[in-house]
Amino acid sequence: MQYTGNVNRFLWYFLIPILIIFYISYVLWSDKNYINRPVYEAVKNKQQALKNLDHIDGVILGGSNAWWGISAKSLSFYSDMTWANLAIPAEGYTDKNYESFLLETLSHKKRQDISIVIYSASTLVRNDFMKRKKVNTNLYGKNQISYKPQRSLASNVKDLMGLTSYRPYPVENKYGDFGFADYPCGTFKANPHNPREYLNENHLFTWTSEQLDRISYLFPNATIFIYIPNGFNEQIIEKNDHLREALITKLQDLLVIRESNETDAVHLLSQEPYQSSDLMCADDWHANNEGRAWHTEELYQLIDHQLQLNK
Amino acid sequence: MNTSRIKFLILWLIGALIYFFSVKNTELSFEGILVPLSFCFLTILIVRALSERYQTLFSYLLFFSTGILTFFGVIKPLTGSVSESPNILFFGFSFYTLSLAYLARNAKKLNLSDSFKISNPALLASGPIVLFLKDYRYRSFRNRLNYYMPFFIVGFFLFHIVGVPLVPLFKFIYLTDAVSSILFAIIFELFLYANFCGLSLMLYGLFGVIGYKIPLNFKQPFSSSNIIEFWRGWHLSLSAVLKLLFYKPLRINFPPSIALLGVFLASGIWHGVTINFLIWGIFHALVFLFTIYLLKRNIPFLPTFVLILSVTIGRLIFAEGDTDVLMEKLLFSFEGFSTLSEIASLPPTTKASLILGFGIIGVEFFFRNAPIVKKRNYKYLRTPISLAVILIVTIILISSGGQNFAVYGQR
Repeated sequence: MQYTGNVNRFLWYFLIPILIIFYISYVLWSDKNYINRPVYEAVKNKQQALKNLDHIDGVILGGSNAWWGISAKSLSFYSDMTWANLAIPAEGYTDKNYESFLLETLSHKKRQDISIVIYSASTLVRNDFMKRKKVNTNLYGKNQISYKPQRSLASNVKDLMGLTSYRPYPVENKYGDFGFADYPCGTFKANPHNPREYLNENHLFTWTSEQLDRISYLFPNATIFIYIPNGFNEQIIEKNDHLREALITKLQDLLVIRESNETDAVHLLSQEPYQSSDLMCADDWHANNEGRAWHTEELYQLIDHQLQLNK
Repeated sequence: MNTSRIKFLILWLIGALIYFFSVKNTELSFEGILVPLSFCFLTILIVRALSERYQTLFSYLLFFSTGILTFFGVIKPLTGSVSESPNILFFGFSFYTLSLAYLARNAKKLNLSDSFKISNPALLASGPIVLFLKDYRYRSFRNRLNYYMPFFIVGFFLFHIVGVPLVPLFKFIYLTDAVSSILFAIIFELFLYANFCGLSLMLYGLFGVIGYKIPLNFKQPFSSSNIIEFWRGWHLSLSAVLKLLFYKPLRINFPPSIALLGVFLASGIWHGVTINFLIWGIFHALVFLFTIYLLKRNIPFLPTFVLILSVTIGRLIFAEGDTDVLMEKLLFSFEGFSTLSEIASLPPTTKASLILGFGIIGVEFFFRNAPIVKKRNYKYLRTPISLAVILIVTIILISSGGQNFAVYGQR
């Protein structure tokens, strides 16, 4: 027992305090040195690519589902207009981040010239309207310092040992489209998104109104399309349909209220679900190249009428 | 203001700091802590003004208030897979109404200062239900640190290292075939344990270090050889309320079987007035009675088999709020083992958490008669060597990724 006592004292008064000090040091180091390279490079490369567009007529806003799933180049081809895909991973994590990204990427003049905005808002089909206001993550995916490190020690050790494969999000062209040629999708795995189990009308109305006000401010001369994105929902299609119907009804109510207040007309569109996992890139929320082609054409059909009116 | 009021007020303020620190990614709002305080204050005033008979009735009204609100859709049933409260005004409602119901049954001891105790913001997100809050400050700080800090470390490990990485596996809830449903139920049981017990241990440790003893909500539930022992270790503060409000009164006029059915149905209603909780309550009452029958006849092994089966099936029923989907799951249609292959392609952190989680449950279960496990107070995880290992594993695996949320008490 004498020896056990010594071991315990060693652990209590030496090893455990050292571990705690090491942990605090690691948290600080991790915060100073962390960079989410794929997201950082994706944002920077997209900004760089879009500089090559002298004039933009229409923009696609949103998160990864819009970046993977909509081709600005194809829309430009179909519509004889110039489109830019401004969708970025996780839609910048917060609404504020995304706004600053848009302001940084497009000059005032370019924003004034834009006549159509398609906002593919995945927040509408998730349950996190308020979360985007409270997440403490910057545009490049770095969290605010907390008691937990940005990345685990195990991941950093794996990097050092060369066991981690770096997988960037490529930008394909000057329109800002996702580059599937340099991004192997891998095997499809079902990862059903959580359908909304309840619809908090207050949160929905507040969030959507704020988004519309923000878009109107950023693109004052644009017609806005709110686009409810969809995925490949084989397992939950019925439940999802029911919940989408409720969402669309509520959003239509909101748009009617806005119109009665003499704000600009906003059009509501709902994406059809992908019909096969062959159209998806690894999971049921991101299209692959074929899925994007199908989805973009479907989107064009939906907005064509409006485009004709604008001509 | 007397000393106890000041004491609980200070503790309430400390709880508020913990609340703001820990729930920053969800609902950060003053309503979340001020509404419970006001509600408790007013309720205690009402209880004290009522006659003894009406105090009893009122305590049942308080108990069932959560169920009533779920019935009308004001708050969500507590299936465990909802990470966000639909209404901040009801944050922690199910916990503080239960504390009030418990204390209202013995209203003579109920003081206004209890409102600070019951609505302590640190306890609203995860419990335990505040049955008591004992002052332990007479023990030296070093003494308290030595005893309670390990509970905090173990809880932190369970919550962050075992629980958080399991959230991506919630996707299995949408699969209805037998293998997937059972796999989800087992993983979800592990997640609930890691999350709920982890938070409870953290708070137990934290309050202990500050100088206050709160109920220990979990006592190694998996160190059991039958379902009766299991319930002696799972969500103990709720069990105490159910015993006082239902079991004891029902036993006066009814046999134990009816009293048990009443207890489990009341427990189901507290979680939510939905079909799955009705089935869950009846199912667990029947399993409990069947286990009593088996134990009385000294039938070996079968009670342990029933324990494993009932915990798994019980969790399957508990987690599925959609009746049609639940019925489909309960058909247990076999469609192959493809879901199992998905486990192999999980992220390394999730695999590690599965190994660690099942390792802990395995130690609790298979070594339940070993002296260090037998006392059911997590002693085997609180030895200096265990703590050193836990700290090392935590430092290696922890990161800011994943979803942190208290699986209980959000509503």
